[in-house]
Amino acid sequence: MTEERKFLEAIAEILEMEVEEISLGTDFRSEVPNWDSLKGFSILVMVEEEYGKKISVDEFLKMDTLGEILQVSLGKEIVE
Amino acid sequence: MSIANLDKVAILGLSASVPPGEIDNREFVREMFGENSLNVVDSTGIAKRRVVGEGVTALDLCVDAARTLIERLAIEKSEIGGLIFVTATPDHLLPNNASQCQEILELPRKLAAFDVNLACSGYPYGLWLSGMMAKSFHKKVLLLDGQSHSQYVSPEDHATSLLFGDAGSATIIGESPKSDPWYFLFETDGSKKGVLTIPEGGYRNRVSKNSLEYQILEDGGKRRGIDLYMNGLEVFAFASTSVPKLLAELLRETSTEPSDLDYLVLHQANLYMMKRIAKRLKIGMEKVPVSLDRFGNTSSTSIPLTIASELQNEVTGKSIRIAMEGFGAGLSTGAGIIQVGPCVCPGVKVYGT
Repeated sequence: MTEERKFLEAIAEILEMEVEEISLGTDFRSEVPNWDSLKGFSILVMVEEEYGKKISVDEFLKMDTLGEILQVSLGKEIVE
Repeated sequence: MSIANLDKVAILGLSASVPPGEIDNREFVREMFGENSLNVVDSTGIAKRRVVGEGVTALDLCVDAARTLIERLAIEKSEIGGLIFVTATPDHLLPNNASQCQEILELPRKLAAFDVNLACSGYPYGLWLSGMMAKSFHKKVLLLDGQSHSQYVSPEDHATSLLFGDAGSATIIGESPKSDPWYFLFETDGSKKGVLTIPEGGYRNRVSKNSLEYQILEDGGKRRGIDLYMNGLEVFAFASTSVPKLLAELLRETSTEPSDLDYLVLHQANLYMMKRIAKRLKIGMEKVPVSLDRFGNTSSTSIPLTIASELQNEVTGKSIRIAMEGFGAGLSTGAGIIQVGPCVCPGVKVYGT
């Protein structure tokens, strides 16, 4: 399984969506139905556990797409 | 190892009582916060909840449940040597609920009776204490667990107003030579005391004229000093990290595999939260009974209420192994693995009917 697929499956489970409904380009705050802070927090917990990367709430608030979360999770700079 | 181990005790019976007044949360949220807030009802999973009317308290609901249970178990009251009342919503600051229940339920005066001031983590504590007490006295113990948080929740506080329901329960614990051991593990983090609290009305911040004034909150809501305050995100952070960790430790230390469990009965805090906890424990939701859709978050009572409402047939007919976990104000967590049934379980009664 690719890194991207593994990441999106974990995200889909947290968002209670099908993995086919999301992509790295998904703007999670505006495109995810019933988006709330609990889902956001669950993503931070998942990233810390699966990728060993602690994302602060301030950092998270600057991110818009799932792709940005993956880049930071993998320790890369965000490419706009 | 800090695991508490109790053997040769059993739940002889368990019942619950809920108030007749039912709130439809969609109607409530539409009226209080408008159409745009309706998705909160879906994510909490609380479609309906029941709240007490004026003049009814958690004590009344517990007495109701206890009367039904004592009658159905057909035990003599003289067989009861102890009464433990778990509640954070007592009738009075003094005396405790347990003493009042001795009189109301006409229990013997040779009775050890006291309250345990715990909220959502209370039921595993209650079982553990009751089991120890039953073994010490060689008598039965009546465990009452009831909460009526709706009475001090601001209807205009977005974080709490649609969550809480009221309920009471009664469990009778006694010695049972053939029972499988029970295990408990508890965790306490007092540094987080402020994330779930009723700030005023106790002895530290005594009730004053100001306590009764509604304060305007950042999000436009309102709350008084004597109302329950909850920092939802902090509580969620606790529930999605420390809470599953504690139960995972209890499972590991007792060599219990998720497949050894028939059910995981979680405190019914919020459906999304419950799903996250079960996921982290690798336990499928088919093993996690849900009652909060009809009763809301009833604090510590949500565990016995869920057993009475969702597992009534199971515990009446056979013996099942369940894990349970309550978590909340303190912050305090109680986890347990127990064997239940076959026992007497009259289910959930509607108070006053």
